[in-house]
Amino acid sequence: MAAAIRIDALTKDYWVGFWRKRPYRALDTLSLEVQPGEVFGFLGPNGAGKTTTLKLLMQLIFPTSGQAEILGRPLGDVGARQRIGYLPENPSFYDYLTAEELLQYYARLFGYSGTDARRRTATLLDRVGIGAERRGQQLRKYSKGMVQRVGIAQALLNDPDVIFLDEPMSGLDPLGRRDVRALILELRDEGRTVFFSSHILADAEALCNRVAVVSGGRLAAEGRLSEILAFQARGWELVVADVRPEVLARLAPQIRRSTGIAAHRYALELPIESRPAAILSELVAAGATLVSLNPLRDTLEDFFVRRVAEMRDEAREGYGGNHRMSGAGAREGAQKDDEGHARD
Amino acid sequence: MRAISWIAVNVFKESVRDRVPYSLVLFAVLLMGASYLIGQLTAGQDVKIIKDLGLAAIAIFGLFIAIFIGIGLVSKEVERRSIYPLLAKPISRPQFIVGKYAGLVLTLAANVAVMTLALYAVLAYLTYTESPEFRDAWDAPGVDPQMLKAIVLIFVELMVVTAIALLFSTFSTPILAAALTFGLYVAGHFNTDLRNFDQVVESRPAVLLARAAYHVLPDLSAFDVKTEVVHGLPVTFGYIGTTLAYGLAYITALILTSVVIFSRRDFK
Amino acid sequence: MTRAGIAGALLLAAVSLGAAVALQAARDARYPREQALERAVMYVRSGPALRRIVLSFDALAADVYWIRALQHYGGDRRAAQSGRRYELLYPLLDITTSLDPYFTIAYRFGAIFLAEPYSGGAGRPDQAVALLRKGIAAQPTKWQYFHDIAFVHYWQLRDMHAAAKWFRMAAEQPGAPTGWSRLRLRC
Ligand SMILES: Nc1ncnc2c1ncn2[C@@H]1O[C@H](COP(=O)(O)OP(=O)(O)OP(=O)(O)O)[C@@H](O)[C@H]1O
Ligand SMILES: [Mg+2]
Repeated sequence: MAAAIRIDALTKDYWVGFWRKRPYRALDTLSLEVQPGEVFGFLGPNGAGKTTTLKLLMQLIFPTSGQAEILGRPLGDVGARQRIGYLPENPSFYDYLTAEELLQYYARLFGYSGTDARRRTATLLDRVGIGAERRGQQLRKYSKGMVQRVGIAQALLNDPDVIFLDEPMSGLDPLGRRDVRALILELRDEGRTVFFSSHILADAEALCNRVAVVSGGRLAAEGRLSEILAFQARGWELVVADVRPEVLARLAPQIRRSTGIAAHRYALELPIESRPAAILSELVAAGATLVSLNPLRDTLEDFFVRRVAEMRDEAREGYGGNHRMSGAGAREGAQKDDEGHARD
Repeated sequence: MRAISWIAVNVFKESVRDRVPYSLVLFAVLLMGASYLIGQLTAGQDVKIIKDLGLAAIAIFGLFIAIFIGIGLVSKEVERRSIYPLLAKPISRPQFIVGKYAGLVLTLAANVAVMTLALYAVLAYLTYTESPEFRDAWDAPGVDPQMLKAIVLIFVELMVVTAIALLFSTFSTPILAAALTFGLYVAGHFNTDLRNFDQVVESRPAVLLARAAYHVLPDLSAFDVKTEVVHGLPVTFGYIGTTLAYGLAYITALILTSVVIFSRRDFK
Repeated sequence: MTRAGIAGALLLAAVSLGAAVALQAARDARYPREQALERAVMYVRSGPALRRIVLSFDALAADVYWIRALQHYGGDRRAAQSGRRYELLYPLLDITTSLDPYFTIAYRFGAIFLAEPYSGGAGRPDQAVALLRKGIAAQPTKWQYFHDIAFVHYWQLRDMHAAAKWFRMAAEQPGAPTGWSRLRLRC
């Protein structure tokens, strides 16, 4: 089957500076594919280029180079938008319209008849939890989270096949987040493709089949969550009971860290290159009982932090190599600066 | 086409919610107040003055609506970022521009229609309360359908001004767009002075430059037949027809230019 | 929009503008608007009224009316003999100088246009004198205006006594060239 979204070497330069404009590369040859029915998490720190990518896909801005397809059609195909939903980052609508009027306006643009438009509007406002008593109020009286909900509703108005959500959880209370998570899973179960950007990694872990991590406009990693994180197992966690302290002391060189959980019950962290079976048999021989043995995986957060830091280092090295102006001294200074940050 | 009309309806709705109709109340009050005051001052000529005043007020109120809504048509959507979700709907950018323009023209049409009715109502009242001897002295009848000629031309002039405001609002800030639009409005009204330049100046390049400016700038003074209509002088349908055709051709050029500029724009 | 679409739109825009220019030219040819301009001038004959209408831009408006006066004069001077009427010259100059009472050029050149014998000018020395007197009312010590009135009396009205009187008054104004005492003597 054709990819739902195909992004091919998409690059965007913004022109910055007041007098002497120079290009600033916000997105650098990004390539991605998202299959139909996937929930795809598009992750990255602030300023990574997530919003830029989504705006490029919506043709709100035009790429410097590269191209992309949605549902097999090139960008800018107005017909394809009939099957696409989009929630912008921090959406903003028309103050003078009520939530109902706004959604009906958009529904008419999608070609719904008057009755259908009213029906879709009611269904979706129910779905995002805007109560009947607030629907007739002008949007200028809505709170940020309520506007966000209206934004999600309008993204789903046309029963889209592909849904783009730019930070769908922003501005929502914990209940709202839970609702949106449930909503995204529902959409997945209905067979729709969801492409959402976020820097809340717990959301990605809970929802996504696959993720991509961008940093500084470049793709840092991409793949199934299980793949990305499985390769990153960084040790073992061995939980044992009935362990005498002197046995532990004897094994100490092989144990990275031991934590007492209860009387005679310990959680032992073993380095990845150790052989847990050998240690376990020694412990059992000394009278201990096995409670559990698990590989210690990175959380997405650990992975994210490390990978982004690596990307930044790479970028800085590339930069230092290209520019004669920045002498060794300048680079050292930058690095010191960075270390300072790391310690913070 | 359907999308264009819904965008237009939304513009109309916005202008109503932004309390543009209040200007109509102001217009009516102004007209009635003035007719009362003038009726106290002059005898017999008050209908002419009310016509002058009414037509001028229609032109000026329309101008304010055209400029102040026109400059915000596009730039407000961009600034508020409400354009992001909108352009992700199945509408093209040219449709967006044309819809916005049509919406403001709709708003202007409604306003001009209401002001026209108010003017005719006041004139009807003045006519039927005036003695027949005075009525005979008038250049033109009190309730004179000829005035519609002037009003139609004012309306098309407002359409031109709206298209100018829309063009500027596709690439500049609202304040700059307002200044530029108003500047072109003024220049457009002094256009005839440019055409007659060759009667004062000998220099060939200067005359050519003035000629070129005369043709490229909007020829707004051509839409002004208020004086003729009020004095009962003839305004031929040929003149009205060519002037309307001129206006529509000029508007087409402006809208197409706006579409081209807008189509390549990044929304940051 | 595609590149072709943009090129097409631009082309169409150029064609529309061309059509507009053609329509404008056709209209100007069939329905000349000189009369329209004149009616507009007649419409507001009163300088003071106009001054109120144009709010704070009276100097600018004066410039516009000065240009119109020049166009009217120039246009009529070039016209065939029968078309030389100069009938709006005085009203235009009057409006100009009401809008900007210190518009020296408008008084002095305007007076020349008005005073010139008919067909080269309006042949209305009386209006020329009236215009200059208006200038003196605004600036009572401007010797040039006295001097110009004297010339109108001398050349057009052939009234040597009046001319002498005005020359004398001109010489009495501050800043007037001194060589004039001799001119006065000869009269
Ligand atoms: N209009 C613009 N002009 C210049 N630079 C811009 C513009 N918009 C974005 N950028 C830059 O492009 C980079 C990517 O921005 P983008 O908004 O895509 O980040 P993001 O990943 O969405 O970040 P966040 O998580 O904060 O929303 C940033 O460095 C930003 O400063
Ligand atoms: Mg963002």
